[in-house]
Amino acid sequence: MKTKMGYSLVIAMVLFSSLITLVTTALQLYVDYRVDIKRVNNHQALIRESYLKSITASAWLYDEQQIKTQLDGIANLPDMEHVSIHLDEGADWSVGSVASKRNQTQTFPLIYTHKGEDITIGKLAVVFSLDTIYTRLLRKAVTILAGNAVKIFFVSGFTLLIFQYLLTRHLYSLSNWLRSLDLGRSFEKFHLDRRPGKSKKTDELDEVVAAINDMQDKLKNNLSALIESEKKYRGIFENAVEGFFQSTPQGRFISVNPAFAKMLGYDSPQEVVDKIFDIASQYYADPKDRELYRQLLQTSGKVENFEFRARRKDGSEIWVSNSTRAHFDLEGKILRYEGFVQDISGRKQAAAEKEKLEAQLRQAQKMESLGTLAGGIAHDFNNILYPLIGFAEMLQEDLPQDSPEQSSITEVLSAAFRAKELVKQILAFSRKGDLVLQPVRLQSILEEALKLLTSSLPKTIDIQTQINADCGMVVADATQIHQVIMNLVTNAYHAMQTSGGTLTVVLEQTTVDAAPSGTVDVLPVPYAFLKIMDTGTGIPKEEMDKIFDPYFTTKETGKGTGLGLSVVQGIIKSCKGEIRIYSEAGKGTQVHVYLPIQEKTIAPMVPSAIEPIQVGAERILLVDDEEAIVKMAQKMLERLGYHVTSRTRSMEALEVFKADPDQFDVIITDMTMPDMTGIQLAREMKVIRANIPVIICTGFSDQINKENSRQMGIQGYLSKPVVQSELAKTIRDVLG
Amino acid sequence: MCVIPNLKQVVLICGFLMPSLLGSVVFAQADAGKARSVIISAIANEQTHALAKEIVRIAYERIGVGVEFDDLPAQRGLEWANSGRTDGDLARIDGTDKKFVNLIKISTPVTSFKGVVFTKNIERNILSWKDLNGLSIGIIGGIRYSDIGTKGLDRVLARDMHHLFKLLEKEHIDVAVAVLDAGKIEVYQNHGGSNIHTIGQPLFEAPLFHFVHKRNKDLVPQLESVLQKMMETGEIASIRETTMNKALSQ
Repeated sequence: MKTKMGYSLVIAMVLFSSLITLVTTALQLYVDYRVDIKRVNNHQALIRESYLKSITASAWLYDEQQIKTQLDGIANLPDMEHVSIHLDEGADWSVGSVASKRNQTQTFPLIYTHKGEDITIGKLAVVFSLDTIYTRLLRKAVTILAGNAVKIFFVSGFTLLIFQYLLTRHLYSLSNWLRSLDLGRSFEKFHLDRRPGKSKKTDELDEVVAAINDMQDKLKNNLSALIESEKKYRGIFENAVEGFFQSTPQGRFISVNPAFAKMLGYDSPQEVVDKIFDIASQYYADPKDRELYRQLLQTSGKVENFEFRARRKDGSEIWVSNSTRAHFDLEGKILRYEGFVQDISGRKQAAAEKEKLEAQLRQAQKMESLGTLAGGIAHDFNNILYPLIGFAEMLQEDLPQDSPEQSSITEVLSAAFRAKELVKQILAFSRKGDLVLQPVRLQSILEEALKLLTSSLPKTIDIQTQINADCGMVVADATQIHQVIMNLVTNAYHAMQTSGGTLTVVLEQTTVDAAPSGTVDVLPVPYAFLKIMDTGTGIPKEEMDKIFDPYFTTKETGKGTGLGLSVVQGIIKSCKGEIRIYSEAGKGTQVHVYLPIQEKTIAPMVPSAIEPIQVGAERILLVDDEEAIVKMAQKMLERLGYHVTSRTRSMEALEVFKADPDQFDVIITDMTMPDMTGIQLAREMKVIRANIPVIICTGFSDQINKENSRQMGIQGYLSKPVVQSELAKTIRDVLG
Repeated sequence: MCVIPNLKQVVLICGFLMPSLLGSVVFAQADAGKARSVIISAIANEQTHALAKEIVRIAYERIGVGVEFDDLPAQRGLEWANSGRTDGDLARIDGTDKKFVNLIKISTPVTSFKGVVFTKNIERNILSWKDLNGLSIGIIGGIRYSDIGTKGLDRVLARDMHHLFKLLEKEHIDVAVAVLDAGKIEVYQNHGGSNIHTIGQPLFEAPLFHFVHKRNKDLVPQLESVLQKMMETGEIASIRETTMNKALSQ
C-alpha cells in the first residue's frame, strides 16, 4: 500500500529538519568559532600579561635557557603554532614552525626599563594556527550533521510508520469503501479497522467517518428525489419538441436530445454527437452564420432567436431558430454553449407564401386599378371612336368610289380601327375585354402562328417545336391565344436578334401536380402546358418583378410598347390559366403557360359567312348621353331605313317610352349614363312592356357583358365602337 | 627625462638647504668647544670590571675624554658595544673582536683574571673543565670563557656575580665558575661565613683588554699610549691592588 501523503510528510520533515539542522549547526559553529577566536585573544592577553615581562627580563640578560623555557611555555598554549623572539642586536630564538594556511600573528615589543628609560630591545612574535580551529569546527560540523542525519532518518521512518498506521491505511480503506459505494443499493456504513481508544474519545478520523456516514444517509435520502427530478428533467430534455443541445466552441456537439436529432434527420442523439465533428460546415448551411453566432456569444454571452439555415443529414436545408447561452470559466473563456433549436421552416415558408400572396394581392390590386382605369379610358375612348367610325363609314358610303377623298376617309377609318384595337388590348390585359371564350385547339393556333413567324424570323434563329397532338382543348379566345403566342415568340426573337440562338416551343398536357403551386387561380384539372424557350439575353434579376407591369419594356424604342406581357398575362388570367417566366441574364428565358384543359367536348364555333348589310323600317328609340353618338347613330340607322327617336337623357327616353310604349319596335341604349344605366332603363321599360327588345350598346362596363346581358333579359349587346354592319345585323337579330 | 628646475624652484631649494648647512657649521663649532666623553659597557656587579673601571677611567682622563660606565648584563654589554649603542666595552678577553667585529682592541691589557671553581661543599680536585662533569655548574651569562668551557655540561646561567653566588649559597648549583678576585670580593662582601671557597686549579687565566667601537678609532692610539705607559710604570698593577684592597676592606 503506497502512502504518498506519508512520503510527502516525510520528505517535508526531512527537508525542514535538514534546514533547521543546517541553521542550528551554522549558529553553533559560529558561536564555537567566536569562542575559539576569543580564546586565542585571551592567550594573547595572557602572553602580554604573564609572559612578556619575564621574557623581556630574560632577553635583557640574554638568558638563553630562560628564554627557551619561556618560549616552550608559550608554545604549549592551545592553537599556538610558532613563537619567536628577535632582539634588536640580531639574536633570535623560536619554537615551533608555521605550517598552517590560516593563522593569526601577534607581535609584542620587548620593552625594558634601564636607568629609568624604557628601551625596546626586541620583539616577541606569536603565531596562532587557525587551521586547528577550522579543522575542529569542520569535524564538529560533520559530527553534528551526521548525527542529525541519522536522527532525521530514524525519526522520519518512524513517523512514516506511525502515519501509515494511524492515517494512511484508514484513508485507503475509506477510499475503497467510497469507490464501492452504491447509494442506490448499499446501505452498509463505514467503520474504521482499529481498536477503540481507552479514553473513548473520538479523533479527527472518527469525525471524518461520522461525517461521511451522515453524508451517505443524506445522499440516500435525497437520491430518490434526485432521481425523480433527474427523470423529470431528463424527460423534458428527451421529449421536448424543441431540439436541445450542448456544444463546444471548437465545433462539436456534447449532447443533443432526440428532437434535435430528429430535426436534423439523424437516427439518434449519439449519431449527431459522433458524426458532426465540425458544426460550422456540417450543421450550418452557411458557415458565416456560425461565425456570427460565435461572435454574438463571445460578446454578449447569449443569443436569442438566431435564425439560420441548418443542414440536415441528407443534405437538405431547414430554417431553424437558435437560442443559446454561453458558459464561461473563471478566466472568461467559453467552456460550452447550451441552447435549444426550433424548426421554423414552416413558419419561414408560410412567411414566404404570405409575402408572395401579398405580392400577388398587390399585383392584383394594381391590375384591378389599372383595369378600372383602362375601363374608364376604353369607355370614353369608344364613345369618341364610335361616332368617328360611324360618320366615317357613312361618309365613305356617300362619297363616290372614285372620289379622291375615298383614300383619306379610308385612312381615317384605318386609324380609328387601330385605335379600337388598342382599346381592346388595354381591356385585354386588365381582363375586362369582351372575350369570345370557346374551346380551341392550341395545336392549330400554334402551327398557324409559327408558320406565320417562321417566314419572318432570321435564319440565325433555329426553331424547335415539340407539339403534342394529344393535348386537350382549352377554353379561350382564339384570337387572344394567337396574340399570346405571337407576343411571346416575338419577345424571344428580340432576345436572340443580335446573337441568334434556338427558339423552342413545346406543348404538352400535364397534371395539376406539375402545375405552379401557390397561385390563387390554379385549379385541380389537367393543364395544357406551353413552353416557349429562347437562348437569348435573358432578363436581369432586378427586372423580373416589373416584367408584367404595363408599359414596362427593356426593348429599344419602336420595338415594343411595354403592353405585351401585361396583355399576355391578362389573357392567360382571363382563361383561368397561369404564366411563369424563368430567366437569368445571359442564360435565356423560359415562359411557361398553363391553361386548364376543357374536358367536356364542345364543338368549336364556326365563323359565319360574311353577309350583306341588312336594312329595316322599324321604329327605334335611341338613347345615349353622348350627343355626337346620338347624332351619328341616328343618321346611320335612318340610312338603314329605320325610324329613329333619339334622346340624350335616360329619364326623358323613359318618359317618351311611357307615353306610348307601342310606338317603338326596338330600344337601343347606352349602358353608362347619368341618372339611370342602360340596364335600369331596360328594366323600367320592360316593366311597362315586357316584350320590347332592347339592345345595350356600351363603350365599356364592368356590370355587363355579352353573356350576362342575355341573363338580364337584354336581347342585344354591342360594344362601341360599332360598325354599321354589326349594328344592322344585331338589330335584325333582335327583331328576328 | 631630465627636468631642469626653474629659478623659482632653485630659490626654494636653497631656502630649505641654507639653514641646514649653516646649522651644521654652528654645531661643529659648538662641539669643538665641548669636552668629548664616551659611555663604556661594564658588567654589573662584577668585581673584575670594578677593578678595571678605575684603570680605564684614568686612561680616558689622561687623553682628555670623559668616561661614563653603563652597568649591563655581560652579554648585553658586549652586544651594545658592538652595535654602537655604547662606545666600547670595559674589559674582555682577547679575541672578542673576532666575533664582535665592530670592536677594536686596545692591545695593552687593563687587567687579568683567573677563572676558578667556587663551591660550598663539593670536594673534588678540579684540574680542567672536564672535571666539572656530573656537577650542576653556575656561570654568569655572557662570560665567554666560562660559556665556552662549560658547553655540553649541566650549567645554570646567572644574571651576575651576585646572582651566581646566591645560587651557590642556596645550593641551587654545585659549583660556580667565576673570576678569582671578583669571587673573593663577592664572598667577602656578601657571603661571609657561607663556607664558599675555591677548589682545584684555575681553569682559565687570561688578560682582559679594553675595546672601543670602531667609530672611536681615533682614540685607539692615545689609549694605547696611555695604557702602555701605565703598565710600564706599574700604575695598573698599583691601581688594581689598591682597588682590591679597598674592596676587601669594606
